[in-house]
Amino acid sequence: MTHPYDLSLTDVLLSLLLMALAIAVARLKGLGIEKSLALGTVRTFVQLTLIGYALNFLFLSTSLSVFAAVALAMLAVAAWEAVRRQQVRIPQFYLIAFVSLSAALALSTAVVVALIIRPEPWHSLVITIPLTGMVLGNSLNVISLSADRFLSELRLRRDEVETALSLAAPPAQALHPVFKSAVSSALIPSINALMTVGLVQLPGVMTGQILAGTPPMEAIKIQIVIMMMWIATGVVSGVISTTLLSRQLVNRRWQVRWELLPGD
Amino acid sequence: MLTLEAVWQSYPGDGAGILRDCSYTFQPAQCYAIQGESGTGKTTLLKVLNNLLPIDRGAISLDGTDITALQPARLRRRIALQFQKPAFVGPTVRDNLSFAAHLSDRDGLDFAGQLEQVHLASDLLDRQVTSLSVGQQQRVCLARTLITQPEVLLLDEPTAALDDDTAIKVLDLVAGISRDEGLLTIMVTHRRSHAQRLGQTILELTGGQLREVS
Repeated sequence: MTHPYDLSLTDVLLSLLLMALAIAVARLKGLGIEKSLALGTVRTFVQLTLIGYALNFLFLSTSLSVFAAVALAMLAVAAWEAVRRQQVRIPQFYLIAFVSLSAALALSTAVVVALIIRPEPWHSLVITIPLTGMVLGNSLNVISLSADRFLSELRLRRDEVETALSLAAPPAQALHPVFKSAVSSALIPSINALMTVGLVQLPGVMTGQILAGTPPMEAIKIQIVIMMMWIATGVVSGVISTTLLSRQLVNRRWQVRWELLPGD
Repeated sequence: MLTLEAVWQSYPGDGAGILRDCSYTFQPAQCYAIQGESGTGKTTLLKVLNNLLPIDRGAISLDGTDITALQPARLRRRIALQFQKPAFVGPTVRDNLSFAAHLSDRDGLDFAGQLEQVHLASDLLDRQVTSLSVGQQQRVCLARTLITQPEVLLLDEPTAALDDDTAIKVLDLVAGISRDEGLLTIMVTHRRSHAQRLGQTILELTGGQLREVS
């Protein structure tokens, strides 16, 4: 691959001018985020440099066990992050996030890697690591947003849910309005991105490819595949995680475990 | 016959408990009114009877069968609960009645007849529930609850938001339906006059226990 805009270290450091400007504006307006911006800048440089070295090393490998270990590690961290983002501690939520993320990853690996891109070998880390990162990042957001929304909606709509349950509705039916609201609202950012892609902004992958010299018509092909993968894995992970969460919140006597929700 | 035997119920962190060693036997086809200060657990008691909330200790039985041995849907059709604040599971009156009818395997039910039973005109069927008065909403909820053909009817402050004239109409309606259908009816109310109008037996929930006051 050609690199028409090969950046030197000095070129990269020049981007700090932008951060300096952001910090200056933040200080001028008293936003109180200067330290976070500075720390974030340092972390960006350190983390991306480290991951660059790690990827250089990993991309040399064609071992299936290395792929499995990397995927498992990424899944474990993503599930932990999903738990960390929750303000309400729900029992087994780590497991719920892990299972949902695994399903999303299995779907993307089966369709995008094995069926569409078909690298040789199929678990080529050059392909699977970036895709896994994208899938897990988006699915993690959907899982977190839908869980947050589910818990807040459940509290707000307690009367409606209890009325349905008292009329002998099964929990899945009684909770369906809450479930629907949670999953659909968590998917709004993804759907908006789907609607405006190419019109309002060029997605990161496509931008990166074009900057790296890939012809635009080639870049859009992979971007379309990624958008489809992004939405499908978001829907699958959101539906699975919210289904498992709702089951976690209702016992076998069809009683909602209100004591797990804050304020109850 | 609905029996509570030494029932304890508490919320997490509430050491004292809402229900404390509460025992009582409700007889079939009778109307009971339960009174008590605010926060004494009247609503909790009804939710426990409808199996919406678990109990910590003790037992509740319906005609000699522990309610935990009954399938939840079957139990909730036999012991129905109507909440203080009307809550709806669909936008129109018809949607709400259909919801209950479907769950009770009564899909072909005559909804107009159900509305007439609670003294509402059948032309309300396709009205939005939000456009109804609170009194009408209460009666729609009652019609919806009755679709499940319960043996026990639990009513949580059904007259709380109603003016006195409307409240009396609703109470007389409930008394008539209970009598005609042979229902065991248990109503929570904070108004003494309403308790006396409906209740053949008046109970007070105090200190986590039920006591007859008349």
